[in-house]
Amino acid sequence: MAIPAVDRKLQLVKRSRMLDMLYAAQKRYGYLSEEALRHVAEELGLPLKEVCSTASFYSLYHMKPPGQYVIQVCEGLVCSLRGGAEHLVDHLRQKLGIDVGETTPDGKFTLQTVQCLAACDTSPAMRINDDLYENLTLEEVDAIIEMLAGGR
Amino acid sequence: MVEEITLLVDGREVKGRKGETILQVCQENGIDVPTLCHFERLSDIGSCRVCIVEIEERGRTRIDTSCTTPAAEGMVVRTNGEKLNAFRKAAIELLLSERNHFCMYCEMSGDCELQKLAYRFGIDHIRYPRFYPKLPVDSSRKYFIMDHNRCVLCRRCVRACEELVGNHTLGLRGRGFETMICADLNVPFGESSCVSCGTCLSVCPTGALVDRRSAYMGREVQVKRVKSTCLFCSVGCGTEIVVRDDYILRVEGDWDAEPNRGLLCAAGRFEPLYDETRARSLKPLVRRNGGLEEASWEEALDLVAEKLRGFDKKAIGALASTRATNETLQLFAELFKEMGVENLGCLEGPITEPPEKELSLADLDEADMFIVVGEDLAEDHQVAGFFVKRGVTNRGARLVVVDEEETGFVPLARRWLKPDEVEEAVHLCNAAAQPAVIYGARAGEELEVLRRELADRARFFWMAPGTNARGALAAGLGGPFDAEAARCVYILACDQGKISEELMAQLKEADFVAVQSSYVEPWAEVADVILPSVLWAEKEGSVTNLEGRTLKVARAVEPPGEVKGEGEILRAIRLGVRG
Amino acid sequence: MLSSRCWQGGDEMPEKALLRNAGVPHVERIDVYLARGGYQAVRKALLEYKPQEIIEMIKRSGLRGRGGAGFPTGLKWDFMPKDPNITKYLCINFDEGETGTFKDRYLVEEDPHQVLEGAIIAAYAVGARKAFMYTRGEFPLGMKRWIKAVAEAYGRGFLGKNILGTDFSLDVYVHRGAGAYICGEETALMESLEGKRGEPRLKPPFPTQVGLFGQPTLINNVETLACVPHIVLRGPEWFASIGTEESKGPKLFCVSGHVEKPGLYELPMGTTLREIIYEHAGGVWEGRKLKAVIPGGASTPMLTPEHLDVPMAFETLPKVGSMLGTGAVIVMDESTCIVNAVLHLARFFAHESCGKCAPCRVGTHTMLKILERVEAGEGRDGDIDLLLDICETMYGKTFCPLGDAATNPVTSSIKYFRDEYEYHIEHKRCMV
Repeated sequence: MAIPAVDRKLQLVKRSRMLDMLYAAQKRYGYLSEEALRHVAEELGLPLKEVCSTASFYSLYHMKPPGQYVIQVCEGLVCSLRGGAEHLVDHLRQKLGIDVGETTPDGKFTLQTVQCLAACDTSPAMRINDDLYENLTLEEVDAIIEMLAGGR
Repeated sequence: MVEEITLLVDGREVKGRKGETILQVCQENGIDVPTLCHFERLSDIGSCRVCIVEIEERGRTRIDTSCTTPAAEGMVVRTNGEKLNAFRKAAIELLLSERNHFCMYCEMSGDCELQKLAYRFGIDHIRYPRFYPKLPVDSSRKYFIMDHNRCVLCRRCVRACEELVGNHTLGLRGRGFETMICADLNVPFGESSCVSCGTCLSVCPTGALVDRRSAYMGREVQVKRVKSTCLFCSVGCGTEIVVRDDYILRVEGDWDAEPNRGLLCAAGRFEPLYDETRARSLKPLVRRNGGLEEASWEEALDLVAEKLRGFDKKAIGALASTRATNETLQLFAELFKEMGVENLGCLEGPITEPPEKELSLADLDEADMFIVVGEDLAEDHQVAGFFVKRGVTNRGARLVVVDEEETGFVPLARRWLKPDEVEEAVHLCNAAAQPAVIYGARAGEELEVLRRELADRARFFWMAPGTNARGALAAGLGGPFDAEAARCVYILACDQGKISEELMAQLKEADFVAVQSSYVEPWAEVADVILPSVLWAEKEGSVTNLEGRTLKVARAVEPPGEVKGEGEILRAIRLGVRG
Repeated sequence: MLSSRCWQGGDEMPEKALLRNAGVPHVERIDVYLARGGYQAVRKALLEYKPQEIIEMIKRSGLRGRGGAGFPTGLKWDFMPKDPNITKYLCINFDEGETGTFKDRYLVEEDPHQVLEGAIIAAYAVGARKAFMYTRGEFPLGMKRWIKAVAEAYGRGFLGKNILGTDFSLDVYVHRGAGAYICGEETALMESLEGKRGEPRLKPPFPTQVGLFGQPTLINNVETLACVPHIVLRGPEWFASIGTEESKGPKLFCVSGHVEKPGLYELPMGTTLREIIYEHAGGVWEGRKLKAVIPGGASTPMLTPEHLDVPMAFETLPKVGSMLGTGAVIVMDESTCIVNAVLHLARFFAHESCGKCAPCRVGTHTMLKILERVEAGEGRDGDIDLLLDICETMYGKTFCPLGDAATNPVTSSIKYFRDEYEYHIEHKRCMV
């Protein structure tokens, strides 16, 4: 229960750094491990449960170690209407040999679904790490995966 | 003066006070609005939606939760009606469908608030599909179990841990349907920062949090509740001892009692029932032929009286545990003073009367700064410590620990000072409007410094050692006790277990030691006579807590075996001594 | 790229306002933006008008919030306390998450200075000295462009201390969200910005009374703020001359789904669905027929071809049982399985429910499970009524409007396409 007493107002403003700090911790530790969460709790002077509570609420935080490339396929209605979403997901499941939420054994790709990416007029769409790919065809997806799998 | 307001509720004019919620106004006027996530001592979050009512205000009608909506003058409220009740019924059915609510196997059946609501709204089946999610049962905590299958996510436990105790162990994780209650960084409760105060257990409406020992042992209608006072430290928390057929099921906090208002700590709630492994002293024991043998009361009392008459009064010493009632301690003091024995003291050690004859722990809720001197509130007087934790974590009050040792409260503190750095604490007080100094047995010179410097600014709170320290002082038993001079020692031990090694060594040297105790240990080694005495739940009388408040101790169960009352034994000895 | 698909629309609005910079290369850079007449609105507002006058201007323009709720913007600005000694904040809601909506993303990525101008004027009008932009976590490009634009604005003296020599100072901050649609709801947004779970707060108090960090806060949608410079430059009368009786100004309609030309269309409020879909977006694709259309984003009840002549405005859509919402038009052709479409939306709402209140937390999940089994051919008799029952239980009684939104696709689709549901249940497969 390490909560050093600070000014109430200051505490509020300090707390507002939470989401940013979680992103930074995720970058530094690879994912929000116990160590990462403890670090954030200590930095912000908050009880552990507050950090866990907040981090686990949001979809973009990885609470488990992710692959090198996190593929997030939009599973929204419009992407589905335009041939993406589940069609794309199924294609990737087959191609990568993993299910949604899983990571390939070589640690390269993690497959996830996300909600509407606001790319409805350029659907189907997906994100890989922080990059948005739009107007996808299955062939294009294959090409992207192969390029990334080829490694750098 | 708080402004009075008038509302029309269910066609009836009712009065309330400005600042109250619609629910509060209804409850005060005897209007029964169903609730689930609401709990009087906790903030309202409006999450279960069961308490919704129809509100007509300024010509507009809306539906909202009565627990969160402030009551206003002229509001027209409808708490009943077909639509509202149809909604409530559906909402409860949704809750029942969410997780695994099998009343037949649940220990709370009969006392469960969810179940009561289901009965109230005539739910005899659940129309919605059930999911039977596979949820864990966390049994890693020693005293109680968290069964997530029965949780309705009312968040009372989270709020209690935050608002009442200030421990901030319980929180949530995940979102939506996946939301779960969890401890710290999602660790088993037994490995978390939980201090086992049991507050979450006492607020949980369902069988999600269950006391291990008393599970399945008795429904509310089958038990008796005896209001008493905890005898395990000097805070004097008001308790409700839950009894069935002369058997203690569990100890709960009395929500109406001062100073704890329902809170307890592990030392009073769980340890006496779970961790006590010693054998009860049920028959008088007398040392014969090298060992302790059972004897009759007559024989044992005669022996004690004989010895007390026989020894020179300067060679007699008597120690009383502060777990005894005021009445017992007075009688004890009288008995020995009558005999001319002056070597009297407390089993816990000498007690010095503090300058504060009276204090009020409730004042701690106003403090904006705490200085804790020579006291580890994480171990002792924990409920007083809750006041500090609440203040620091919820009100932003500052904590300074002045202690040679790194106590459990140091992580919470703004500064940890050694006793010789106490001036800095004084300095830090300059910014405080209402500083509070809480001091314990290990406080030394540094306390005097604080008294001098903060005399008219701070309130001082004495964390009295033992339990009924004030009662002992009033009976003149503050000591000090000369163990070396005492060849014949009488000890009113109550149920005390931790005795200093030094004292034990001195008692071994004594010629005759008689102990009236609830347990055989730790006296078997040194005692010549052990007189079986009542346990904390078997005695009655009063104790005076560290505030100076006189509190009632009530007998919850009958003493077993040949156990006698503390006063009864002392009176018998007095008779014997008088001859 | 959004901009390459942004169509200018028809002749009704020869002079674009919100999309006037669409297609102009690098207009996210301040030099290009200034060359196109940028920041004149800020100059005019700060140098020629008093704050209260700006508020009156916005009120007269009839601008209503573009985030979905449609609350009169001027009125909201007027609710902010006038006392200059009270710290006030502006919050820019860039948590665009409504399915089918992509207008805010375009605005911030492609024309961030337009939004920033609106924000500066808004802050000036209500006396806010700090503006917080809350951006959706999935929009790193938008965040980057915004940060760059803000930095440029500081460099040119449009932000910081004593802007343009006045005594108005403004600092802008960015907070990145982390993947929660509910954070688009203003009180949940504030919770998230303050570093907590994005769970909505009780109202009252309203944000203009108690908002961020306890201070009065004005929260406005990106598109709403983008309208502001145009109102200042061209006058509230010009703005009010466009649109309908109760819905004024140009609106960015996002058209997607089964249309020839998905994209952003800037058209007057009140343009009909028929015109939007057939005259501007090229009509239903592949020569197919229209089956259903969602007029304002996933949270709005769906409509059928018989409703095509409804004007797209706040007051007209409720007359046909729907809402304008964000003005995101999702077109579904005859090949669409309605049950499948609603299943997607149900999955969305169940995933995004914050979990605080029981009816939404359980209700969205239950609806999802029922729809899953109906769609998969394992539906049971009574499932349709069960769905409607859950909708009835949730509607109006949940903690926040997400609960209502979650029921809209279900109730509206059962109203118009009940036979499809029945077919799924009876024949265990899709009608289509």
